[in-house]
Amino acid sequence: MLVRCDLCGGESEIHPGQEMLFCGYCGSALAIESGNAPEHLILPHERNDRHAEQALRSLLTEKRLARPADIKVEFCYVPFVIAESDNGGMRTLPAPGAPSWAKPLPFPPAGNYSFFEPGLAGKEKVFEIREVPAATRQLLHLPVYRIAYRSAGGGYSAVVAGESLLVISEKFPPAAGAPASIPNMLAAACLFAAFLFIGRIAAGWAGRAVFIFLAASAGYGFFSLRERMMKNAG
Amino acid sequence: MPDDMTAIGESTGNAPGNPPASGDLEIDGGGREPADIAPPRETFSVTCPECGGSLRIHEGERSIRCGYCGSALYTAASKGVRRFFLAPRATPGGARLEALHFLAEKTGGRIRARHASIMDMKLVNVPFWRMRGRFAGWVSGERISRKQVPVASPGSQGETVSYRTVEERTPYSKLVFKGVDWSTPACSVRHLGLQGISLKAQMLDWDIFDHSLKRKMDIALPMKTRREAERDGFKYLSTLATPAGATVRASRFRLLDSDLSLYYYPVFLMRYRHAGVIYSITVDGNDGHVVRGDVPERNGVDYRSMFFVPALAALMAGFWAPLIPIAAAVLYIADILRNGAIIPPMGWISGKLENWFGGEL
Repeated sequence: MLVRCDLCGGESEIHPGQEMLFCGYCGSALAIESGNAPEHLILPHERNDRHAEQALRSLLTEKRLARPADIKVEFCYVPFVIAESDNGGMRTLPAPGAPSWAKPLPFPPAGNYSFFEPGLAGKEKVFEIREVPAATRQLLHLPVYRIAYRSAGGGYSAVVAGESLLVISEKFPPAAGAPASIPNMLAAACLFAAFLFIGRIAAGWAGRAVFIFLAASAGYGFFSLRERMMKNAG
Repeated sequence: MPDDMTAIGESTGNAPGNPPASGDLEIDGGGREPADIAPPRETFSVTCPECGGSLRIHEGERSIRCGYCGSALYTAASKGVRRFFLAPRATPGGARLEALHFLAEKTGGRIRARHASIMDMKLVNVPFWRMRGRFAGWVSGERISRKQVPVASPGSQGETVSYRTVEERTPYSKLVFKGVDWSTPACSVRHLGLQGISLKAQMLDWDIFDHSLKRKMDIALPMKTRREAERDGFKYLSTLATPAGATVRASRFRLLDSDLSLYYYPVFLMRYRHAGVIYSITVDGNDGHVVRGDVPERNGVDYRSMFFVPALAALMAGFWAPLIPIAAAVLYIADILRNGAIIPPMGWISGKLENWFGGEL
């Protein structure tokens, strides 16, 4: 929106939520007394589906949950309102007009916010705000990834906030073990071969079992001790 | 003159040599889309009451000196909130190096730069509310002290002395008058790796932050309202004014000349990946030191299964090789019965391998 300076007549652009501005021509301070709509910001974001996918994988790995497969990523700008709650705190809630899968955010992402202009979203989809709720302090258009994936035989979806890479989901896949890496598998194969060899040294089945059991116990004892020492040193 | 910006002795909209008829701004609608035209709104220009010169006054500013005649002016009730920011002294390269040193140090050299894939690093300006002014008032109540008092009591073998705890209450009253410099985070800072930053202890060169800078800087949006910050500050100061171990019967405190402003403090946020998990390290943008960082915990191998599963397999292979697939089939059926659903064989095999041999060697 444009206003004209009453001292020099120069035009200045103002944005909702702005309470004062300097005339771009004569530099005089202009105060806006009334008619202030809530500030409407957009967080421009360079779409990076790989980062969003990594954020989801990171969370699932960290929580030791089953890994995702058949990942499909969508990206759009979703409207949120920052509204004051009854206890005085502020909350970030999906605005009327946001898709049904949008969920409240614990905090808005930190980033390079700009006053809202649809052009800042580029070619990405932007959900429009249908109406502005009464207690709105700020309106935000935030970059959001929606990820649909399959895991452990079931279908799941998650929302990843752009910039903060915060993952929000109501339902997660079941638990799984830590990934078995190639060095681990090689180590296990080597141990198998070593135990097979050790077993051949002994005569008779009982002796073979005792030899293998002793060798496994010695290896287990040594590495457990090493692990404990490393933890203490850390 | 609106009520909420009453500059003492200030007049509005009277530029020297070009006195406008009123303080309202004109709206330019010529040749523009209706959406671009501001609706009529009450605006006014701020000028010096002494000489009529236009003033450069920022949001929330309380005192100003006229650039033309030098008059010292005071705004009785300022508009908006004063905002400041601090230009970072640390460089992104320095911050990155510091973060990588921190990572190597905290993991005992286990994770170095080559083991961590750095995703991004950005400078985030974190808002803090800072309250400055004077806190005055009085408080009265009772100080409570506990003492051990000897109590003599006659016994069969003469007099015995035991001790009893006695509570003593002494009335007190105290006048409080102290300078205030208090700050609190204005947004959720835990995800940025911060607890809080003492702005008081640091002699920093703050610059004025205005709306146009939002386009140029990464900021965290303030989520604590001015009202909340004022309430928290007042509560903290009231608690501080009350002596420890005392009850309060009556008190009255008041903040005088208080000023609540927003300060944006720079921090570098570096995100990196290790073993498929994203972690972050926060570096102070002012002094370049790591404020806080997440480091991967060692996800060790379960050595019991690492040794005893191959040992058992070797024993079975030595006895009769087909025992291994038979044992695997028995385990698979047992797992299906336990889960009550059919598990895809490949998924079951990879799950078992993960459980037995997963983790860092």
